[in-house]
Amino acid sequence: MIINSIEAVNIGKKYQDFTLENVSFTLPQGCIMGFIGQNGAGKTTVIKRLLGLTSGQGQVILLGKENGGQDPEIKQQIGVLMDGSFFSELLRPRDINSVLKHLYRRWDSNLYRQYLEQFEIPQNKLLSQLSKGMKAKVRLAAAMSSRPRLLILDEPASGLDPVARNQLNDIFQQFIQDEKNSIFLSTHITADLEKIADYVAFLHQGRLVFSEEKDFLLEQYGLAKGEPAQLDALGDWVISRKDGRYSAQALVKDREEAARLCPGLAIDRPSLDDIMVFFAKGER
Amino acid sequence: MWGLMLKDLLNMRKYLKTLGVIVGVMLVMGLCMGEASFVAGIGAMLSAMVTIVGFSYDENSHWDAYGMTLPIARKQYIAAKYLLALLFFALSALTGMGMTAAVQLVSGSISWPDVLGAGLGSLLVGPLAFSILSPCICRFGVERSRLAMMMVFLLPTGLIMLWARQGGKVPSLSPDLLQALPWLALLALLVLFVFSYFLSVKIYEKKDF
Repeated sequence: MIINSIEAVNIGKKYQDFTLENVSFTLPQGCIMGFIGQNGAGKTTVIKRLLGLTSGQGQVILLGKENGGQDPEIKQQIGVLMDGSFFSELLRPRDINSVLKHLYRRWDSNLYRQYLEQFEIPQNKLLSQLSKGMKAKVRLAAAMSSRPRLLILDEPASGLDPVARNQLNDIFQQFIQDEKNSIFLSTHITADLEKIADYVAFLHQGRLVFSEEKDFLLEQYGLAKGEPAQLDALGDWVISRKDGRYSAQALVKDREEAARLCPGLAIDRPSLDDIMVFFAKGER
Repeated sequence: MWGLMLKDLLNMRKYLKTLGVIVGVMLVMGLCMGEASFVAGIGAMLSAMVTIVGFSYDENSHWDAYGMTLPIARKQYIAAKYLLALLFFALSALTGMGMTAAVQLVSGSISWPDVLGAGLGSLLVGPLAFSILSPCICRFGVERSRLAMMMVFLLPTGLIMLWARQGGKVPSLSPDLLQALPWLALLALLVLFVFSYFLSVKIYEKKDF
């Protein structure tokens, strides 16, 4: 019985000018994990290591199989969206159906057509004639129509308008209703993760800063605002801070504890954006 | 594997239609000129070019990274390319033979050795070019294999021209050996083709995307 959809243990990859190292996380079955980080942090490299597209250090277990990304049987159960890599733009959405139905045993042509109709994508236009957002929707439809158990998506919302992103979130939540299905997605749109993710992992300069339950992050952490001297009183509860001339802000580990230490301090619930910015740019 | 071959055929749809028009024009020109040798080379040219075009479309769309996430083994991707190449070699041989026969029929009578020769030319040139280029493309990509492409086509031409300038004497061979030579060449090409496949698979299995 598979309990975890993804287990990554100390995965790493060395390039000439960039090193990904000791990235470990687990995605339990039936959950959504959002993978966030600045541009160039290594998110796509992690996804490529998960899928066996690149060699490197560490161990990857997908759907209970080590190096599952290189096993055609395991890949039958994985739907993938790679940013910047897809079929030639000389094909039409209906051509993609013709190709993929011969590769995936569980390919559902009706489901694929339903997604295209839902996203209002014309089946007979060349991909080159579609807008960036429409191409993104075709990629998504292709990833989901093989009835996978695990979706691995690199920037799925890239190029999507707010209406389409909302549709996407609904589709993801429907997908997860089968508790054996899981989603791992990298994204810059943290607002969507706040709505749908169960776990959030943050990658910074090739290292994993945290991999936590989203609710824990948003309920536990706090964004403290006040004078620099007031924030000094918080001591080790401060993860990082940004000092201005007259005021300062700090990300604190425990909102309640910080409020107890400094009763007069304004401490708000942070957004994932705040957490990411403070971890990446704040002073320790 | 049929899905992968279908993908390449769909990518080449427009290109193949254009090639079809070119072949038609060449045939008409050959018929008007009454010159069979003009059309005999078409098959050889087609078989060498078309097979490489499939790699080119994949590279332009950065398909490889996405393609390797599909439920295929890496060697299946290579096998599909080689199988499609074999189909095109057969098609181009038939095209060359058909066009040669058509031109000769209009001119008077069909010379079957010439017709067979046209087919054999396609079967020699196409697999030779593909067998050399395919591992290069797997390793370096289409763009960076352009030098290899030029060498495959220009080097034999240059060597033949040099040999012709030196007097162009053909070494004397026994009639039996002369008759067997084309078939020996085909056998050697088959061995090269199989070797090329295994080399391409080995390169592709170790590749990072």
